[in-house]
Amino acid sequence: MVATLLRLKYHLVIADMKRSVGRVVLFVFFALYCLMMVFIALVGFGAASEYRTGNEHVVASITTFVGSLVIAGWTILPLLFFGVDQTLDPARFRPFPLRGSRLAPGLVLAGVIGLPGLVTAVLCLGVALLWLGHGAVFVGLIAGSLGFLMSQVGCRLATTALSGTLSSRKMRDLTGVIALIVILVLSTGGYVVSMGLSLWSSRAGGGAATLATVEQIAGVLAWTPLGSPWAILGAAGQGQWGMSVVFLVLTCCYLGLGIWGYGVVLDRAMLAPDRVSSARVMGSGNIIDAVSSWPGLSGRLAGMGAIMGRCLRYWRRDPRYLGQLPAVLMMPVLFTIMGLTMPLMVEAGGDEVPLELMGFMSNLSLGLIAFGLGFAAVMAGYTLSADLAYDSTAWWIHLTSGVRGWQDRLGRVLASVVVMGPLVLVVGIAVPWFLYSGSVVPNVVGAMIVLYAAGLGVSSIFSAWIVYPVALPGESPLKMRTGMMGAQMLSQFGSLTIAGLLALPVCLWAIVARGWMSWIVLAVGVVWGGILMAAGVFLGGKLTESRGPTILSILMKNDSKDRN
Amino acid sequence: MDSASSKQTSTPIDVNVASLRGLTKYFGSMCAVNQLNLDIPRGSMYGFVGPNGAGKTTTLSMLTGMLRPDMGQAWVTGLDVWANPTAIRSKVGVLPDRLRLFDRLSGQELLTYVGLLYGMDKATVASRSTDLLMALGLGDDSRKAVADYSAGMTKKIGLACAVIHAPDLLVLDEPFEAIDPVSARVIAEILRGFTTDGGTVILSSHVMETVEKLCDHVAVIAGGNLLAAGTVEQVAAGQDLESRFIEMVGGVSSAGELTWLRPS
Repeated sequence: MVATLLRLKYHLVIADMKRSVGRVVLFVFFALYCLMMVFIALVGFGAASEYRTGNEHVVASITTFVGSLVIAGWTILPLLFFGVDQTLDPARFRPFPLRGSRLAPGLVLAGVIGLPGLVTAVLCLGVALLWLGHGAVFVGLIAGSLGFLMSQVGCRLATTALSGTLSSRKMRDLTGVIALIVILVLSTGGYVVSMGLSLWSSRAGGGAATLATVEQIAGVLAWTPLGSPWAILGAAGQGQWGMSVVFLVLTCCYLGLGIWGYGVVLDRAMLAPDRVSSARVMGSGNIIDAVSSWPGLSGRLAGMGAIMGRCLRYWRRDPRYLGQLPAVLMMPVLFTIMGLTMPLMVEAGGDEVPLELMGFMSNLSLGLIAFGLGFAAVMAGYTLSADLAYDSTAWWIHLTSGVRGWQDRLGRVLASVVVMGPLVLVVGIAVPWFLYSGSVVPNVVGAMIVLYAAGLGVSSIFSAWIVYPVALPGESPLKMRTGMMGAQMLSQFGSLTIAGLLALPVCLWAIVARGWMSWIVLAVGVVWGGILMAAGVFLGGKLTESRGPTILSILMKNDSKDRN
Repeated sequence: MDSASSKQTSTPIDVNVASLRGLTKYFGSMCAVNQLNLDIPRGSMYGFVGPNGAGKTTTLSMLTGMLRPDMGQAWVTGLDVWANPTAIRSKVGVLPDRLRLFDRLSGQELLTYVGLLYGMDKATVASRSTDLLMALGLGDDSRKAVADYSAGMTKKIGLACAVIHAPDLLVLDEPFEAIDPVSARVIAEILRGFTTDGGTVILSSHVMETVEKLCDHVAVIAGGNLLAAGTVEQVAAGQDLESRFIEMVGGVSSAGELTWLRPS
């Protein structure tokens, strides 16, 4: 059974890759990248073994700490970013008369087939290199294999145990949102933490304190399933062979328990009925009716109003829309933090920093913050470029109903203005107000409006021109689709560059204008932004109409490509 | 079989509501639809039958302006579909197979949305959508998200979207798939009423019984080629439609080979 499942996984992975040349190329690149990283890591492990003598307990603690993180990562991350690997989805074995306990070992081991699993496996075994020239190196191979197995058991156990809960639409939406928050925190938090740590350690000499904390945590982790495989190695390395055997027995118990538990949840998952989602009543309102009844949206504009109303519903209910917010917010948050902390870092450097450098640094930090704001504004406009792709094949009704292209474009633009507009304004007012001076608020707001509007206008054209594959309706917003990278990067690079250039004159003026001129900048920003947006809606509308059937066929291709 | 070729000469617009001339579509090197000629008489209930992958959906998509043909023309109410892409829109109602709907809208919202896209005024949209939801038995579910609908309910709301603007021609791809018998009866009634009043329906199906019972005309397509077209009596040629169909597309030689397939 184990061999059959491994073969099945192998064939599925190969067949999946063979579907297009792009996929093979992507795979090869990714594989080379992994190979390089693994090589560097292994060399690192080997080199680190040189400095091991006298620091055995440090190496052991860090191994346990990092190894625990790896196992925890395998267990938790697939829950958030799921769809990571459903190649051997237990639900697919339902028709066969198989018990979960027979499938469990094979499904766990099948994790090794596929790049993430393979890389983890090699790295886990590679930990043994830390103990080169020591008897523990052989223990390392055993501990590494057990650690890898533990990560796979954790992954399988968690995804299968929660698969029933996770497959409901509401839960999927929720996990998508949680995952996005995690990304936002990780992407900016990493910088904040490392900044904080380096400031702290440079002031308090806290390196040793940090290490002590790590050792304490590792000591506890060693007794949990996350750390016990690594503790086998750590204990052996420190010559505590008795403890090593204790950890070995403990690990085997945990693994046995995990695989047994996995078999049980597998049985449950295979017997459970297909997802039963409770239908949700949307409330008595009719958003299409409501928005298209707004003053000024009746008559010839009613179709546009309907599209706007529909987009607003999707902004609110479809996590893929709000899922774009981290991408918008990440840059300004990161740049603001960098801008704020840079002078601190220079100060921490000591008294010998010359005054000119300090002045330059404070200008630079303001520049960074301003750039972050501008980038956020144009990104907020760029979020529109996935709008049509998010409709997926439901867009056919726009094509067959003969709704005009400009109505399609304008409805989406206005929905974005309703959602993103206030955000752009609040950030544009608050950040300069609190960090610099109220006098430049009109400059910043003017520049941000023109950048946002240029982003909207350019995206209105680009989204009809490059329809890149996105997560399908109902999928996690994080699900990456094959072929996404190339087209999306082209679309993103192209539209951000063009939008930035179109907005550049106003932005440059905003940098130099002071006093009453600031208000002129604001006025010009609004007018020029309006012109860019209108032009985008008009040209994008023409393009949408002339490319209608082509767009639909691309959407159909993207819809069917990764579906089974 | 020759009824298809004999109708090649163009006929007056008021007789045929839709005409296909030399319609051809390739997907890569695979010919999905090959030189298809077909006339759809006004007021007819036209069945479009063929095995899976025969080119039914491809043909219907080219007729409704959703898929650009490589060669040939499609005419609807006297207008060339691909020369006047927007002109025919209000005259045709479409129910595609396997395309999504905006399913985070409720049934009622979706109908309002489609009605407004067709440029209808609000009052008409409101009254027609209520009528449609009632007639199709979706009244109780009209406030639920379409994403939570069953396959049959989704088909029904799709049908409602196709008819809300009261078109002249309805192009329905597999309208009876996943539909329960009660709803099927209701839909059949609605379609019959529509054709009696001068409307035209083209529907694809691979259930011969449905087509034989409901349609007055039928076209048989296989491998992208039109095998026969005409009234149901003409095509069936004295047999029942299913036997004639299997004869035309080449059925299984015999079912007697699986001798082991017996309950023991």
